[in-house]
Amino acid sequence: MMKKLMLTIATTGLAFLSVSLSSCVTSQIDPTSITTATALKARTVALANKALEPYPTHVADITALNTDLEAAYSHEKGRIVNTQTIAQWDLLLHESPTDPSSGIWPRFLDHWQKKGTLKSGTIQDNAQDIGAAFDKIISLENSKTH
Amino acid sequence: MALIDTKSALNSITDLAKTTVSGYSQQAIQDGTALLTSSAERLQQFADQMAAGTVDEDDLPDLKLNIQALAKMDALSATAIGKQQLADYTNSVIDILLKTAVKAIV
Repeated sequence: MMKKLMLTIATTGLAFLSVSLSSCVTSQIDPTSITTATALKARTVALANKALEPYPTHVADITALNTDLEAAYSHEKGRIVNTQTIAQWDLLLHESPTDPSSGIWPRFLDHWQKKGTLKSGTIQDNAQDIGAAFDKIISLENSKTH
Repeated sequence: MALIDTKSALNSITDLAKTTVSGYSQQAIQDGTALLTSSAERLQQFADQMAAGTVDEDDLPDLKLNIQALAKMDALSATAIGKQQLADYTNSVIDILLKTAVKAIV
């Protein structure tokens, strides 16, 4: 009876400790994430600004950039306590059947591909949104614990 | 000509802040006003670009989706710093704005 009671207390204590420790885990700033996102912002906005030219002439650049964007996304997926940052990257990079607003960058690429070339105002608007999306990702990273 | 009735939208978001984000209502009103102002400027910019012929009418749905996506990113930042009420509020503000704006443009 006493053994059973001690076991129950020990189990409850361990469970409590486990919950307490998990609630202590906070999101840590990652300087690499900031550097990478800053560099990718510059490349992505620069490429968007080339949409006055035909889409097919930039396919190689688009493919290379998309590979690097996905590598940055994978890096974020590998970090602990990073749910909101991953969701922000999703809104920038991935179209979703459950959220029509998701996928700022692929939506722009689809538009460019379908039209061949884009008008200056369309490019200006989208470059502004793409830049703002990166800024929000970088700002959230900067707000994390040092 | 202004595309959206910002005064009416501002009244709506102020009411919403008072009822949904107790404790953060002043900050929420400021955040909501900033979001409303920047989004209204984007829509006005689009109307000017339409007049100048530098965008097409079929660019509007993408603009609307981008504004929504950026507002959701703001809401995620609010959630990350533990302000879930502000996050929910931000999503509601953008709904109010886009309903008003889309009525005005379309």
